[in-house]
Amino acid sequence: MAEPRTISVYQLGTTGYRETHALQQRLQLQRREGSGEDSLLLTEHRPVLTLGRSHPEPDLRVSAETIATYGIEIIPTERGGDITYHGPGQLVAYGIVDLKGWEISVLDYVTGLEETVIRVLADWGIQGERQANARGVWVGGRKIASLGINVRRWVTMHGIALNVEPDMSHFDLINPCGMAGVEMTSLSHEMGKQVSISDVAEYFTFHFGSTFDCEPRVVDMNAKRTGAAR
Amino acid sequence: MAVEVTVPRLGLGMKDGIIAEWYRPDGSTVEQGDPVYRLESDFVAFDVEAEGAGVLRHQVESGPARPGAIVAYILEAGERLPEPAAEIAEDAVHTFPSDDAAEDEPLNPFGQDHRERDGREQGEEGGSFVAAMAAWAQNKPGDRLAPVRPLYDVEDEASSPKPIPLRRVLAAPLPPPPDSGWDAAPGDRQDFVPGWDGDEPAPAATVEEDGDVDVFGYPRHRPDGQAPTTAGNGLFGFGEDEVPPSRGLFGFGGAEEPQRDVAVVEEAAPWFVTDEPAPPFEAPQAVADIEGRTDAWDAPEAEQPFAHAAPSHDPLAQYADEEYFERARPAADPDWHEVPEGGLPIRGVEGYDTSDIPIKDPGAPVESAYYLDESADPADAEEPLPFPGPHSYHATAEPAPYDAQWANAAPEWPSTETQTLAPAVFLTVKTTVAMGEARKMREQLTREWRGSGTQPGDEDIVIRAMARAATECPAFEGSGDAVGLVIAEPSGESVAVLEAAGSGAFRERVETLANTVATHDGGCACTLTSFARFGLDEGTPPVPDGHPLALGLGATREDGKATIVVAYAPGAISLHEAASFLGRVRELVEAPYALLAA
Repeated sequence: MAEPRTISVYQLGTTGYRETHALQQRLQLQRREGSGEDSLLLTEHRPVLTLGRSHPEPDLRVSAETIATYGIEIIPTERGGDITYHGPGQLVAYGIVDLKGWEISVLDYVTGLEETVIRVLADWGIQGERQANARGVWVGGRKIASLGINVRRWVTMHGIALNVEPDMSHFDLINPCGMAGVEMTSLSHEMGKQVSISDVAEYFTFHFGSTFDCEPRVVDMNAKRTGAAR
Repeated sequence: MAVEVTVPRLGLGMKDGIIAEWYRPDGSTVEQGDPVYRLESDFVAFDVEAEGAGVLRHQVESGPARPGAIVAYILEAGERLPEPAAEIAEDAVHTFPSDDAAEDEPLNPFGQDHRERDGREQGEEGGSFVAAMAAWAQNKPGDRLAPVRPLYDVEDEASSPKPIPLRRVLAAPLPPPPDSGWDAAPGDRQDFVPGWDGDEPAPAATVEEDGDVDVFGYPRHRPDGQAPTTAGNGLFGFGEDEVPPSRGLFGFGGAEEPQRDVAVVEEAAPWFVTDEPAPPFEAPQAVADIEGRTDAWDAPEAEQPFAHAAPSHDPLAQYADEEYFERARPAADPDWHEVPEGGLPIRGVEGYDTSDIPIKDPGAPVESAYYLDESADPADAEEPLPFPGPHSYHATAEPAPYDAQWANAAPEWPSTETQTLAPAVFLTVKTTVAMGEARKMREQLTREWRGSGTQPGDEDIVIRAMARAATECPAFEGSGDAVGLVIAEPSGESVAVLEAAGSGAFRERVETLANTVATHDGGCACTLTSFARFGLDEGTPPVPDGHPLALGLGATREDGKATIVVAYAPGAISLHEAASFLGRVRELVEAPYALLAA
């Protein structure tokens, strides 16, 4: 019997995109060098637009100058997929997972991320769906979660972003995922009431564990800051 | 045996992938583990790595690819492409060097010189990393590298060879060990541009974060998508496959020693990509002394860089191709800094007499800062930047035992002491703060605010304390109580400004700051830099232009204490004021509940 899979869960709170991005890169590097551990980073970002590697030109509905007046930065990344928006009120989950260690394929992992979100939505009585032609999770034809990952030496980074209660007007700045006419939605919009993002993070952690059959270990970030925990 | 590069299977039901980008051009030398190309499929970007070392030979162009297909080979020295593949390569890849080595351009970056030196043909063997390093190791400081042809456009006669588009070797590298890659000593400078043809961004010889040298670092993307550069991060260029360091944070020590020599490395790059007169030091390995300590001071006096640092003129300067350097500048690269007129304000540059810098007794703490040419206008030396702190080589000292722990401790080198010139001088005072109460308060507030997801951090508490302390300090009169949080990112520093940080509801301030977008403008009384974010115990914060002081917060240690460092400009604020300010901040953070009052 193999050791049960575990994953360290870091609840980072609200973060800037770049610092978390650098953290992910560091964790991925460690993981593929054989050290480090499988990690799940949960965070909300300050408003930012990010670009997938193959889409260096942002697919905007407004001018780049307008974006700038919002104080929103556009950051290219190494993930797959097209442009997306991150901001407060959106739960972003980044998995740094050694897929060889878990013995699952890249597509299993991607599907598992979607499955995790679908289960979280089900806890709020909402039916999430997949679409054949595009990754992510949809509710009644509206997109609620966006996905894009990078894999190197079978170690993943980036992940999935679930709209809990973000400022939806910011999505109007872009053609999400490079698809014109995509309507975005959020959990609180579907529920018609406020939803606590920390509750969603907790449920996400639980369902991530059950979906991938691994034991989430939530890291005490206070202890982490003091350097007491490893 | 040629190593195959294939299209990985990403899982059942995988659609065809797309070779979105070759990271390494055909004919380039790759090491095992280098990313070779990016496969894209279904919102997944998969960086395919080399599973062996050698010369990469593409078999297909970018485009659709089926799982399992062989898309390239990696050939070892002397190897040829497998038979069927060789034909394909002859037909399809006509712009690349063929395997007939005798007539072909060498693949090694050192061109003719190397070929003659070891008397062998270089077409295949020349791609070897070790061979290249061996050749390169024979270069001495001041050498110019031999002209080489562009590597990938050999049929175009007009384009080769180029007239010496090479930079001066400033520091001789160590010879490589016989059997493997080469672990550079931290601080070794690699500085040349083999085979650059003037149209693409200049390839960079890089010292990777892990200490390996990537001699053949062909143009690669940086993670932030900007052009590759040798001038970006501290002493090194970084490839896209490596973690971008927060500037200087990992610059010296590599991954094993992330905390080493944190403070002063930033922006050190410009002078080693310059064609200005060479810094006249003879001991090539002493470059690590950009910090003005460690290796340099351990060396015999004759080898210390300042012992013979009289300005000299580079005899090779007449060969400088100014146009080349103009062209070599990557367009709109924010990390590229112009070399100012008269060179950079670093030792040995014309315009500064560094010969009289006293050599300090090794091991003794330095008590005062050096600023060698009082008459030199810092504005002339460097374009004004929003953050002069990290761009300057400021000397700091630990002047007074405000902290009993510090006073009683055995003498040790201050963390950021340097002997280099600076446009501004900052001194520091520091103290140790018990963070126990602050932590309790944070935890309590986190529970109370649970519904909103707002979580106060140590920074929020310290910022509030700073704002309160600032209102009591005469040096801040009229500056208001806006406090900035320095956001240090790989691309540089910016400031998230919190207005009225000392008053109003604490929760509202925490939320406001969390949602504040950092800018480069500043517009606050003082700033906080959090070294805790990097897990570091302490650091000297950058002092933005016009600010009297800045505060640096270290991580809370196991004993529940954190170090706070105040860097201040002695001209703008007195020692008394800076020390009182710090003392007041400590008081407030140690008894933080008073900070909750609006």
